[in-house]
Amino acid sequence: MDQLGIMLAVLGAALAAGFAGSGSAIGVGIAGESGAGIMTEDPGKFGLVLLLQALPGTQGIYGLLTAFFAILKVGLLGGDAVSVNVWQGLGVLFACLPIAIAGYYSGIAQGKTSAACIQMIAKRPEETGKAVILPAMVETYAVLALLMSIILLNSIQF
Amino acid sequence: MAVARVKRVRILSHHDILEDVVASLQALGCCEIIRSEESDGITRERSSPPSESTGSGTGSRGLPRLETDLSDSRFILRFLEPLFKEEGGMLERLLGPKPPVTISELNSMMEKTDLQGMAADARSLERRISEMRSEISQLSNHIQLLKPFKDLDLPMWIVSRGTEKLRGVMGTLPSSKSCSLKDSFLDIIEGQGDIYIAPYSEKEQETMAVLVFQRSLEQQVMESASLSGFSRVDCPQGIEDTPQEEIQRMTSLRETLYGSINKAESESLTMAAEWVPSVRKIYDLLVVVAARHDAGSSGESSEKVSSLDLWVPSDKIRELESSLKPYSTLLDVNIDDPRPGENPPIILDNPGWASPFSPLTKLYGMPSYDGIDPTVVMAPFFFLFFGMCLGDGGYGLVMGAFFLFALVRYRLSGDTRNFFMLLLLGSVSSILVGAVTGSWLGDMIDVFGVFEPIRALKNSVVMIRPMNDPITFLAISLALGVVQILFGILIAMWDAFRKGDIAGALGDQGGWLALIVGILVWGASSFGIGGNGVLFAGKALSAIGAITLVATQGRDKPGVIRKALSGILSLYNITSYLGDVLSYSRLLALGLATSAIAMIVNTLTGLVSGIPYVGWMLAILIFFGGHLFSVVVNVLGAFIHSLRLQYVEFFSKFYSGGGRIFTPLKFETRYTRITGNGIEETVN
Repeated sequence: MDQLGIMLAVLGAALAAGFAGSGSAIGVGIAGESGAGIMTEDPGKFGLVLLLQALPGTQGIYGLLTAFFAILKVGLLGGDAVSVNVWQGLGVLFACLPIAIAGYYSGIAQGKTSAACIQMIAKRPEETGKAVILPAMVETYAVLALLMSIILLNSIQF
Repeated sequence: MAVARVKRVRILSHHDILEDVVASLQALGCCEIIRSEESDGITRERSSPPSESTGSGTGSRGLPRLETDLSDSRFILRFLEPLFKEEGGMLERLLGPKPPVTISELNSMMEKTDLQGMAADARSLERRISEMRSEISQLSNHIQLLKPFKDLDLPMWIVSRGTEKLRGVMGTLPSSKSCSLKDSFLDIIEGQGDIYIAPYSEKEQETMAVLVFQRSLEQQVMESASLSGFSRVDCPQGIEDTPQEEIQRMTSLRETLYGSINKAESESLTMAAEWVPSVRKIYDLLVVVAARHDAGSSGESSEKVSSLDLWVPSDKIRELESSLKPYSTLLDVNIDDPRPGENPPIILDNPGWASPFSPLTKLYGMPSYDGIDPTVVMAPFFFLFFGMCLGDGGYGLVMGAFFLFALVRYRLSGDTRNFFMLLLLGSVSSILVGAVTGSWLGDMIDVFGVFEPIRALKNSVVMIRPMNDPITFLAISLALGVVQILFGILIAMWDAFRKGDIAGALGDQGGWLALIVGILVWGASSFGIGGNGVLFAGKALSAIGAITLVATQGRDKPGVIRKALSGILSLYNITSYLGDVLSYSRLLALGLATSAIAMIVNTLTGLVSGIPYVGWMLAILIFFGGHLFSVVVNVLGAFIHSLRLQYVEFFSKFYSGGGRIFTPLKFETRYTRITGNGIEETVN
């Protein structure tokens, strides 16, 4: 039983990186499909399309970040060994959930918005600024989830 | 907070000098043409200025000729530009200084160049290449079609043409049905014909067959064949010999075509190298002249006189007058203020320190003519927020070095320069925030032994460590949010006062200010700050604010009950203010994300450096690759999110765009920079 705490924390880290990463992967994929369509007409838009395609990629980074924090917290990345009881492990697991869940869904939603904005710059390349802002509106909620995950992780006492 | 004042200028000019007047205006580059349709709605005949009366070379070029020249040069550039090797690379052309030329130089170049001939050559070359391409693809299709029959020893004209009595048919069929097709076919023809089924492997679902039979039996044969799933494929005309011979013939023909295409393509490469530089210049000239023509015909014109209506910034009027002086005998200039109800174009007039931020205002939308220019009030917030979101001294240095290099190397101008300056300022802000939070490429200075000597120096300026104490940093972020939002409300209040809407200023903005500040004071005192007096002040202020809002927010509604209801419901908007403030928590989150990603890179570098033999190599790779990735991702995130805070949280309090950007008549060139006064000095 003494390993269970650590393993719960590892599960949390895995969920954070896995789900947020999947959300980003789907989102970036959706945006990429749309971008490829645009570039068949105008390959010169590669730079703009790449920028917009990259936007839903941040959830994956936030997930990775949270996962990293989580395993750092329980001492799996070098440093002094920490003894983690089941409750603390559960705490870490729960703390990882906000970014796992919000990262997954917001990544997909942001991908759709990015895809739509890629369509927009195909017709109006001068409006790139606005096209970049709309997907960022979606990302707000991933940022908030990341914030909550970090605050929760930070508040678990060992 | 300034939108530059503009004047409405009307120039009445004799036709003889109209071209030259427009050319001087274009060289001046500060006059926007008012199209008469939109300015007063009078429908009129659109008359182009008489061109034969002018003396200059480009001017005498008729409008139809100008348009064909434009489309010729556009075509040449579209066809040849992708093949042209840029001197010094793409970046140099996009960002580098454009070569200076004068209109006369361009004109004499234009005279010497046979644009039409070049365009004709280029068009025929392009057509030749595309014809050869389509021929090649046709040949490939035919080869593909005949391949299954390469062992068939039957001249294909029987299939493609047939004789009076004999008929050949080619087609596909499911491979499983090949036996049944063969049996039924042999039954019908009774020895007078033949069938060939192409060999197929077990995996192939479909195969091909050729049937040869007497014409009289055609209907019968086709009916029975279609029962076996046979579906006819037309044999292309011109295929005569046996499949083997035809394949050989077509393959060698295809090889020849490939050779010719290669030749034509290398021809177009030389063409590109020879022509693109001069055609680019000519294209610029044509665009300039076309803009002139367009401007010259924008106003009304009578037999001898044309009018030009212009928007000109007030501070440029003197320049305009002096540049028109040479023509003063033949023209009349009339300067006016914008008429009420008119919608003049917008020029942002900001002090030098704020001008790097003006692209951000343009991105959102220009202010209206008597609105507020948000650039100056937004600038300090954007500067600080960008720094907090990036929040790393090392990344700030990397980014700053990059943009400083670009600024110095390419001598940029206009909005590109503003934008690069903005990012340079952002990097300065990031270095400051990084120093205060002790983040230099994350925790690099703490984890790598080489940095031991500067550790103390780094720590000496650190004031807060967001990694260890996120709550304090969160509080700072939210406090900044409150400050910016209250500031936004204050600006709106000032704007309302300025416009004389006292009730709106006190009711809308005053009410919210009182309520929000009151609640904040109340909250602060309940955390033990200040005594009972503060608590009472907070409560009183909130009450005053709430009462004001309830009393005023329904003032447009009829009837006491609906007024009261709207008033009370408006209090619900407090949630949107709450949401706005919480949105500023991203300052902490993004700053933390930067440091944490940098920390991950450093940790991984430390981990792999322990691997024997290759560890140092991996460590270098991960360190530089990782930090490069991190700086790109984080700069993008920092920019977008600090911009969003301005647009969504700040601008929504006081700013609405809706203005039209000032687009003066000027030298709109893509490849060159036109110097001189734009009028030809030489006589052609």
